[in-house]
Amino acid sequence: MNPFDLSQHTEERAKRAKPGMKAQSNQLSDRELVAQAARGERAAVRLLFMRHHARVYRFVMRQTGSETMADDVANEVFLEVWRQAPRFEGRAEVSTWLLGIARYKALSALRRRREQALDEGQAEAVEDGADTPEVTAMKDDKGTALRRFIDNLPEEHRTVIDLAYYHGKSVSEIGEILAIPVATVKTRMFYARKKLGEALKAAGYDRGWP
Amino acid sequence: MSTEKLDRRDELEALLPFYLNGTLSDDEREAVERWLASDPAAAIALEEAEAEYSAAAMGNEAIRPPADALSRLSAALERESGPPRLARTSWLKRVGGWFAAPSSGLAWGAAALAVALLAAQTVWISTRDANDYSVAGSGVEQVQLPFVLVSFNDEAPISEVTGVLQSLQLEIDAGPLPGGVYRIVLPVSGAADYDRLAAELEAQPLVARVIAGARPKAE
Repeated sequence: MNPFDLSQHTEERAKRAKPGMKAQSNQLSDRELVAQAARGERAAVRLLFMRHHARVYRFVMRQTGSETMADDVANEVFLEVWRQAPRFEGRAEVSTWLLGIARYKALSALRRRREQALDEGQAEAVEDGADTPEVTAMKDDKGTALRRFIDNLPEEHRTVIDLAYYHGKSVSEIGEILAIPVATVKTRMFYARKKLGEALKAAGYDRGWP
Repeated sequence: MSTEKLDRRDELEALLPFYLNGTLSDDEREAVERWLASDPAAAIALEEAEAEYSAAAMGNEAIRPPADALSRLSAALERESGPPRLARTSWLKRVGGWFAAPSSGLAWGAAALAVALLAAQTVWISTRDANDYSVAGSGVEQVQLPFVLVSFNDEAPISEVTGVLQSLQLEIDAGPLPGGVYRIVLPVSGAADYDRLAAELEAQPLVARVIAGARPKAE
Protein backbone atom coordinates (compact mmCIF):
# COMPACT_ATOMS: atom_id res chain seq x y z
CA MET A 1 0.00 0.00 0.00
CA ASN A 2 1.46 3.31 -1.02
CA PRO A 3 0.86 5.82 1.73
CA PHE A 4 1.22 8.69 -0.76
CA ASP A 5 -1.38 7.50 -3.21
CA LEU A 6 -3.56 10.53 -3.90
CA SER A 7 -6.80 8.61 -4.43
CA GLN A 8 -6.26 6.88 -1.12
CA HIS A 9 -5.87 10.22 0.62
CA THR A 10 -8.91 11.63 -1.07
CA GLU A 11 -10.94 8.66 0.09
CA GLU A 12 -9.58 9.01 3.59
CA ARG A 13 -10.44 12.68 3.66
CA ALA A 14 -13.91 11.94 2.32
CA LYS A 15 -14.41 9.44 5.14
CA ARG A 16 -13.42 12.08 7.64
CA ALA A 17 -15.66 14.74 6.07
CA LYS A 18 -18.55 15.87 8.19
CA PRO A 19 -22.12 14.87 7.25
CA GLY A 20 -23.84 17.45 5.07
CA MET A 21 -20.60 18.91 3.73
CA LYS A 22 -20.97 19.96 0.14
CA ALA A 23 -18.00 18.79 -1.87
CA GLN A 24 -18.00 21.74 -4.24
CA SER A 25 -19.08 24.38 -1.75
CA ASN A 26 -16.56 27.08 -0.95
CA GLN A 27 -18.40 27.99 2.21
CA LEU A 28 -18.66 25.89 5.33
CA SER A 29 -22.16 25.47 6.71
CA ASP A 30 -23.06 26.81 10.14
CA ARG A 31 -23.18 23.27 11.50
CA GLU A 32 -19.69 22.55 10.18
CA LEU A 33 -18.44 25.70 11.86
CA VAL A 34 -19.98 24.64 15.18
CA ALA A 35 -18.29 21.24 14.76
CA GLN A 36 -14.97 23.01 14.18
CA ALA A 37 -15.53 25.17 17.25
CA ALA A 38 -16.19 21.97 19.19
CA ARG A 39 -12.72 20.82 18.12
CA GLY A 40 -11.20 23.98 19.55
CA GLU A 41 -10.96 26.18 16.46
CA ARG A 42 -11.58 29.75 17.51
CA ALA A 43 -11.60 30.87 13.88
CA ALA A 44 -14.88 29.01 13.40
CA VAL A 45 -16.52 31.07 16.16
CA ARG A 46 -15.30 34.25 14.47
CA LEU A 47 -16.87 33.14 11.19
CA LEU A 48 -20.17 32.36 12.92
CA PHE A 49 -19.96 35.79 14.51
CA MET A 50 -19.47 37.46 11.13
CA ARG A 51 -22.49 35.63 9.76
CA HIS A 52 -24.91 36.08 12.63
CA HIS A 53 -23.82 38.86 14.94
CA ALA A 54 -25.88 41.65 13.36
CA ARG A 55 -29.12 39.67 13.64
CA VAL A 56 -28.38 38.51 17.17
CA TYR A 57 -27.50 42.08 18.18
CA ARG A 58 -30.72 43.44 16.67
CA PHE A 59 -32.76 40.70 18.32
CA VAL A 60 -31.36 41.56 21.75
CA MET A 61 -31.63 45.29 21.09
CA ARG A 62 -35.34 44.86 20.34
CA GLN A 63 -35.77 42.81 23.51
CA THR A 64 -33.93 45.11 25.86
CA GLY A 65 -34.01 48.54 24.22
CA SER A 66 -30.45 49.06 25.38
CA GLU A 67 -27.42 49.29 23.10
CA THR A 68 -25.05 48.49 25.95
CA MET A 69 -27.03 45.43 26.93
CA ALA A 70 -27.39 44.32 23.31
CA ASP A 71 -23.64 44.65 22.80
CA ASP A 72 -22.78 42.71 25.95
CA VAL A 73 -25.37 40.00 25.40
CA ALA A 74 -24.61 39.53 21.70
CA ASN A 75 -20.89 39.06 22.41
CA GLU A 76 -21.69 36.75 25.30
CA VAL A 77 -23.84 34.61 22.96
CA PHE A 78 -20.81 33.82 20.79
CA LEU A 79 -18.60 33.11 23.79
CA GLU A 80 -21.33 30.70 24.87
CA VAL A 81 -21.12 29.07 21.43
CA TRP A 82 -17.41 28.52 22.06
CA ARG A 83 -18.14 26.99 25.46
CA GLN A 84 -21.16 24.93 24.42
CA ALA A 85 -20.18 23.84 20.89
CA PRO A 86 -19.28 20.27 21.92
CA ARG A 87 -22.80 19.90 23.29
CA PHE A 88 -24.63 21.23 20.20
CA GLU A 89 -26.76 18.32 19.02
CA GLY A 90 -27.79 19.80 15.69
CA ARG A 91 -31.51 19.30 16.20
CA ALA A 92 -32.19 22.97 15.50
CA GLU A 93 -30.73 25.36 12.94
CA VAL A 94 -27.66 27.10 14.30
CA SER A 95 -29.38 30.49 13.90
CA THR A 96 -32.31 29.23 16.00
CA TRP A 97 -29.87 27.97 18.64
CA LEU A 98 -28.13 31.35 18.72
CA LEU A 99 -31.41 33.24 19.12
CA GLY A 100 -32.46 30.86 21.90
CA ILE A 101 -29.23 31.61 23.78
CA ALA A 102 -29.69 35.32 23.09
CA ARG A 103 -33.24 35.25 24.40
CA TYR A 104 -32.21 33.54 27.64
CA LYS A 105 -29.31 35.93 28.22
CA ALA A 106 -31.39 39.00 27.37
CA LEU A 107 -34.05 38.00 29.90
CA SER A 108 -31.36 37.41 32.54
CA ALA A 109 -29.82 40.82 31.80
CA LEU A 110 -33.22 42.51 32.01
CA ARG A 111 -33.94 40.80 35.31
CA ARG A 112 -30.61 42.02 36.72
CA ARG A 113 -31.34 45.53 35.53
CA ARG A 114 -34.79 45.51 37.15
CA GLU A 115 -33.34 44.25 40.44
CA GLN A 116 -30.67 46.93 40.28
CA ALA A 117 -33.27 49.62 39.55
CA LEU A 118 -35.39 48.46 42.48
CA ASP A 119 -32.36 48.52 44.73
CA GLU A 120 -31.65 52.06 43.65
CA GLY A 121 -35.31 53.08 43.98
CA GLN A 122 -35.61 54.10 40.35
CA ALA A 123 -38.91 54.16 38.46
CA GLU A 124 -39.04 51.52 35.74
CA ALA A 125 -40.66 53.75 33.16
CA VAL A 126 -41.06 57.47 32.94
CA GLU A 127 -43.97 59.00 31.09
CA ASP A 128 -42.64 61.89 29.05
CA GLY A 129 -45.95 63.46 28.09
CA ALA A 130 -45.21 63.05 24.39
CA ASP A 131 -47.80 62.13 21.80
CA THR A 132 -49.33 58.68 22.03
CA PRO A 133 -48.09 56.32 19.30
CA GLU A 134 -51.43 56.75 17.51
CA VAL A 135 -51.21 60.56 17.52
CA THR A 136 -47.58 60.52 16.37
CA ALA A 137 -48.48 58.05 13.64
CA MET A 138 -51.01 60.46 12.18
CA LYS A 139 -48.01 62.57 11.17
CA ASP A 140 -46.32 59.62 9.42
CA ASP A 141 -46.94 57.71 6.23
CA LYS A 142 -48.48 54.28 6.66
CA GLY A 143 -45.19 52.36 6.48
CA THR A 144 -43.50 54.56 9.06
CA ALA A 145 -46.59 54.40 11.26
CA LEU A 146 -46.64 50.62 11.07
CA ARG A 147 -42.96 50.48 12.02
CA ARG A 148 -43.67 52.69 15.01
CA PHE A 149 -46.62 50.51 16.04
CA ILE A 150 -44.48 47.39 15.84
CA ASP A 151 -41.86 49.11 18.00
CA ASN A 152 -44.56 49.91 20.55
CA LEU A 153 -46.12 46.46 20.74
CA PRO A 154 -45.72 44.62 24.04
CA GLU A 155 -42.44 42.75 24.00
CA GLU A 156 -44.03 39.28 23.72
CA HIS A 157 -45.92 40.38 20.60
CA ARG A 158 -43.10 42.34 19.00
CA THR A 159 -40.77 39.37 19.41
CA VAL A 160 -42.95 36.95 17.44
CA ILE A 161 -43.39 39.61 14.73
CA ASP A 162 -39.61 40.09 14.49
CA LEU A 163 -38.83 36.39 14.59
CA ALA A 164 -41.29 35.59 11.80
CA TYR A 165 -40.87 38.60 9.54
CA TYR A 166 -37.23 39.57 10.06
CA HIS A 167 -35.54 36.36 11.18
CA GLY A 168 -37.67 34.11 8.94
CA LYS A 169 -38.43 31.59 11.68
CA SER A 170 -41.22 29.04 11.59
CA VAL A 171 -43.92 28.61 14.24
CA SER A 172 -42.07 25.68 15.83
CA GLU A 173 -38.69 27.47 15.74
CA ILE A 174 -40.20 30.48 17.49
CA GLY A 175 -41.64 28.08 20.04
CA GLU A 176 -38.12 26.70 20.61
CA ILE A 177 -36.49 30.10 20.90
CA LEU A 178 -39.08 31.47 23.32
CA ALA A 179 -39.68 28.13 25.09
CA ILE A 180 -43.46 28.33 24.53
CA PRO A 181 -45.95 25.94 22.83
CA VAL A 182 -46.68 26.41 19.12
CA ALA A 183 -50.31 27.24 19.95
CA THR A 184 -49.08 30.17 22.02
CA VAL A 185 -46.90 31.34 19.15
CA LYS A 186 -50.00 31.44 16.93
CA THR A 187 -52.14 33.27 19.47
CA ARG A 188 -49.39 35.81 20.14
CA MET A 189 -49.03 36.37 16.42
CA PHE A 190 -52.79 36.75 16.01
CA TYR A 191 -53.08 39.34 18.79
CA ALA A 192 -49.94 41.15 17.68
CA ARG A 193 -51.41 41.59 14.21
CA LYS A 194 -54.80 42.49 15.64
CA LYS A 195 -53.22 45.25 17.74
CA LEU A 196 -51.40 46.57 14.69
CA GLY A 197 -54.69 46.66 12.81
CA GLU A 198 -56.41 48.52 15.63
CA ALA A 199 -53.57 51.02 15.93
CA LEU A 200 -53.61 51.70 12.19
CA LYS A 201 -57.37 52.18 12.27
CA ALA A 202 -57.10 54.59 15.23
CA ALA A 203 -54.50 56.56 13.29
CA GLY A 204 -56.86 56.87 10.35
CA TYR A 205 -55.50 54.12 8.13
CA ASP A 206 -58.03 51.68 6.83
CA ARG A 207 -57.32 48.02 7.35
CA GLY A 208 -59.24 45.10 6.04
CA TRP A 209 -59.37 43.29 9.31
CA PRO A 210 -60.37 42.46 12.03
CA MET B 1 -55.34 36.72 26.58
CA SER B 2 -52.59 35.30 24.41
CA THR B 3 -53.39 31.75 25.33
CA GLU B 4 -57.00 31.70 24.10
CA LYS B 5 -57.72 29.09 21.48
CA LEU B 6 -58.11 30.62 18.05
CA ASP B 7 -60.96 29.76 15.72
CA ARG B 8 -60.03 28.52 12.25
CA ARG B 9 -60.18 31.91 10.56
CA ASP B 10 -58.09 33.55 13.28
CA GLU B 11 -55.54 30.78 12.98
CA LEU B 12 -55.29 31.39 9.23
CA GLU B 13 -54.72 35.09 9.98
CA ALA B 14 -51.96 34.10 12.39
CA LEU B 15 -50.35 31.88 9.76
CA LEU B 16 -50.04 34.62 7.11
CA PRO B 17 -46.58 35.82 8.30
CA PHE B 18 -45.35 32.24 8.06
CA TYR B 19 -46.95 31.90 4.64
CA LEU B 20 -44.89 34.92 3.58
CA ASN B 21 -41.63 33.64 5.08
CA GLY B 22 -42.14 30.21 3.49
CA THR B 23 -42.01 28.09 6.64
CA LEU B 24 -45.49 26.54 6.62
CA SER B 25 -46.01 22.83 6.21
CA ASP B 26 -47.63 21.73 2.95
CA ASP B 27 -50.99 21.22 4.66
CA GLU B 28 -50.95 24.65 6.29
CA ARG B 29 -49.81 26.34 3.10
CA GLU B 30 -52.60 24.72 1.12
CA ALA B 31 -55.16 25.77 3.77
CA VAL B 32 -53.95 29.38 3.57
CA GLU B 33 -54.06 29.30 -0.21
CA ARG B 34 -57.62 27.94 -0.21
CA TRP B 35 -58.62 30.74 2.14
CA LEU B 36 -56.90 33.36 -0.01
CA ALA B 37 -58.71 32.05 -3.08
CA SER B 38 -62.13 32.00 -1.44
CA ASP B 39 -62.30 35.07 0.82
CA PRO B 40 -61.75 38.63 -0.49
CA ALA B 41 -60.87 39.77 3.05
CA ALA B 42 -58.00 37.29 3.04
CA ALA B 43 -56.28 39.09 0.18
CA ILE B 44 -56.49 42.37 2.12
CA ALA B 45 -55.07 40.65 5.20
CA LEU B 46 -52.20 39.36 3.08
CA GLU B 47 -51.45 42.89 1.85
CA GLU B 48 -51.33 44.06 5.44
CA ALA B 49 -48.99 41.21 6.33
CA GLU B 50 -46.71 42.27 3.48
CA ALA B 51 -46.68 45.83 4.85
CA GLU B 52 -45.85 44.45 8.30
CA TYR B 53 -43.05 42.40 6.75
CA SER B 54 -41.47 45.56 5.29
CA ALA B 55 -41.96 47.56 8.48
CA ALA B 56 -40.39 44.84 10.65
CA ALA B 57 -37.42 44.61 8.29
CA MET B 58 -36.95 48.39 8.30
CA GLY B 59 -37.21 48.55 12.08
CA ASN B 60 -34.54 45.89 12.50
CA GLU B 61 -32.19 47.05 9.77
CA ALA B 62 -32.19 50.53 11.27
CA ILE B 63 -30.31 49.12 14.27
CA ARG B 64 -26.58 49.33 13.58
CA PRO B 65 -24.31 46.98 15.55
CA PRO B 66 -21.04 48.47 16.85
CA ALA B 67 -18.17 48.23 14.37
CA ASP B 68 -15.59 46.98 16.85
CA ALA B 69 -17.63 44.06 18.16
CA LEU B 70 -15.58 41.41 16.34
CA SER B 71 -12.25 42.58 17.70
CA ARG B 72 -13.67 42.59 21.22
CA LEU B 73 -15.03 39.07 20.74
CA SER B 74 -11.63 37.91 19.43
CA ALA B 75 -9.89 39.32 22.50
CA ALA B 76 -12.43 37.66 24.80
CA LEU B 77 -12.12 34.36 22.90
CA GLU B 78 -8.36 34.33 23.38
CA ARG B 79 -8.89 34.69 27.12
CA GLU B 80 -11.31 31.75 27.21
CA SER B 81 -9.94 28.26 27.42
CA GLY B 82 -13.37 26.81 26.62
CA PRO B 83 -14.60 23.37 27.63
CA PRO B 84 -12.75 20.08 27.03
CA ARG B 85 -12.53 19.75 23.26
CA LEU B 86 -13.38 16.87 20.99
CA ALA B 87 -9.98 16.88 19.30
CA ARG B 88 -7.58 14.11 20.17
CA THR B 89 -4.72 15.05 22.45
CA SER B 90 -1.27 14.16 21.21
CA TRP B 91 0.80 11.63 23.14
CA LEU B 92 3.32 14.39 23.81
CA LYS B 93 0.71 16.48 25.62
CA ARG B 94 -0.50 13.48 27.54
CA VAL B 95 3.03 12.63 28.66
CA GLY B 96 3.51 16.31 29.56
CA GLY B 97 0.34 16.10 31.62
CA TRP B 98 1.72 13.12 33.52
CA PHE B 99 4.89 15.06 34.32
CA ALA B 100 2.76 17.92 35.61
CA ALA B 101 0.72 15.64 37.89
CA PRO B 102 0.89 16.62 41.55
CA SER B 103 2.01 13.19 42.74
CA SER B 104 5.75 12.91 42.16
CA GLY B 105 5.65 9.12 42.42
CA LEU B 106 3.02 8.91 39.70
CA ALA B 107 4.92 11.44 37.57
CA TRP B 108 8.17 9.51 37.72
CA GLY B 109 6.35 6.28 37.02
CA ALA B 110 4.70 7.85 33.99
CA ALA B 111 8.01 9.28 32.84
CA ALA B 112 9.65 5.89 33.09
CA LEU B 113 6.79 4.36 31.10
CA ALA B 114 7.03 7.10 28.46
CA VAL B 115 10.79 6.60 28.09
CA ALA B 116 10.25 2.87 27.73
CA LEU B 117 7.57 3.46 25.09
CA LEU B 118 9.83 5.85 23.20
CA ALA B 119 12.65 3.36 23.23
CA ALA B 120 10.35 0.61 21.99
CA GLN B 121 8.99 2.88 19.27
CA THR B 122 12.50 3.84 18.15
CA VAL B 123 13.51 0.20 17.88
CA TRP B 124 10.31 -0.60 15.98
CA ILE B 125 10.81 2.28 13.52
CA SER B 126 14.42 1.34 12.84
CA THR B 127 13.56 -2.29 12.13
CA ARG B 128 10.46 -1.90 9.96
CA ASP B 129 10.11 -1.71 6.17
CA ALA B 130 12.26 1.18 4.94
CA ASN B 131 9.57 2.26 2.43
CA ASP B 132 7.11 3.19 5.18
CA TYR B 133 7.25 6.33 7.15
CA SER B 134 5.38 7.58 10.16
CA VAL B 135 5.09 10.61 12.37
CA ALA B 136 5.76 9.41 15.88
CA GLY B 137 2.80 9.88 18.14
CA SER B 138 0.32 11.15 15.55
CA GLY B 139 -3.20 9.82 15.17
CA VAL B 140 -3.89 7.01 12.74
CA GLU B 141 -4.97 9.28 9.87
CA GLN B 142 -2.01 11.62 10.25
CA VAL B 143 0.53 8.79 10.24
CA GLN B 144 0.06 8.35 6.51
CA LEU B 145 -0.53 11.94 5.44
CA PRO B 146 2.15 14.40 4.40
CA PHE B 147 1.83 17.78 6.07
CA VAL B 148 3.45 21.17 6.52
CA LEU B 149 3.40 23.56 9.44
CA VAL B 150 2.29 27.05 8.49
CA SER B 151 2.20 30.39 10.27
CA PHE B 152 0.12 33.27 8.94
CA ASN B 153 0.73 36.99 9.11
CA ASP B 154 -0.66 38.47 12.32
CA GLU B 155 -2.97 40.85 10.50
CA ALA B 156 -4.32 38.21 8.10
CA PRO B 157 -8.14 38.17 8.35
CA ILE B 158 -9.45 34.68 9.04
CA SER B 159 -11.90 34.91 6.16
CA GLU B 160 -9.03 35.49 3.71
CA VAL B 161 -6.95 32.70 5.23
CA THR B 162 -9.91 30.37 4.78
CA GLY B 163 -10.34 31.58 1.20
CA VAL B 164 -6.69 30.99 0.31
CA LEU B 165 -6.74 27.49 1.76
CA GLN B 166 -9.97 26.67 -0.03
CA SER B 167 -8.53 27.90 -3.33
CA LEU B 168 -5.71 25.37 -2.87
CA GLN B 169 -8.21 22.74 -1.67
CA LEU B 170 -6.49 22.58 1.69
CA GLU B 171 -7.72 22.88 5.21
CA ILE B 172 -6.23 23.32 8.63
CA ASP B 173 -5.86 19.94 10.25
CA ALA B 174 -4.73 21.12 13.67
CA GLY B 175 -3.69 24.28 15.44
CA PRO B 176 -2.77 26.72 16.56
CA LEU B 177 0.14 24.63 17.84
CA PRO B 178 2.87 26.01 20.11
CA GLY B 179 4.56 28.83 18.23
CA GLY B 180 1.30 29.83 16.54
CA VAL B 181 1.67 27.38 13.65
CA TYR B 182 -1.06 25.33 12.01
CA ARG B 183 -0.72 21.81 10.62
CA ILE B 184 -2.03 21.50 7.08
CA VAL B 185 -2.26 18.11 5.42
CA LEU B 186 -1.11 18.08 1.79
CA PRO B 187 -3.04 15.61 -0.37
CA VAL B 188 -0.07 14.74 -2.59
CA SER B 189 1.29 11.54 -4.04
CA GLY B 190 5.03 12.21 -4.01
CA ALA B 191 7.90 14.47 -3.00
CA ALA B 192 7.68 16.64 -6.14
CA ASP B 193 3.99 17.35 -5.56
CA TYR B 194 4.69 18.03 -1.94
CA ASP B 195 7.41 20.59 -2.74
CA ARG B 196 5.26 22.25 -5.40
CA LEU B 197 2.24 22.63 -3.11
CA ALA B 198 4.38 23.77 -0.17
CA ALA B 199 5.97 26.42 -2.41
CA GLU B 200 2.57 27.49 -3.69
CA LEU B 201 1.41 27.88 -0.12
CA GLU B 202 4.52 29.84 0.85
CA ALA B 203 3.96 32.21 -2.07
CA GLN B 204 0.65 33.36 -0.63
CA PRO B 205 0.91 36.89 0.78
CA LEU B 206 -0.98 35.91 3.93
CA VAL B 207 1.46 33.10 4.73
CA ALA B 208 4.40 34.11 6.93
CA ARG B 209 6.26 30.82 6.98
CA VAL B 210 5.99 27.23 5.80
CA ILE B 211 7.92 24.59 7.70
CA ALA B 212 8.29 21.17 6.13
CA GLY B 213 6.64 18.43 8.15
CA ALA B 214 6.16 14.85 7.00
CA ARG B 215 7.41 14.79 3.39
CA PRO B 216 7.09 11.81 1.07
CA LYS B 217 10.36 10.24 0.04
CA ALA B 218 11.70 11.18 -3.40
CA GLU B 219 10.78 8.59 -6.04
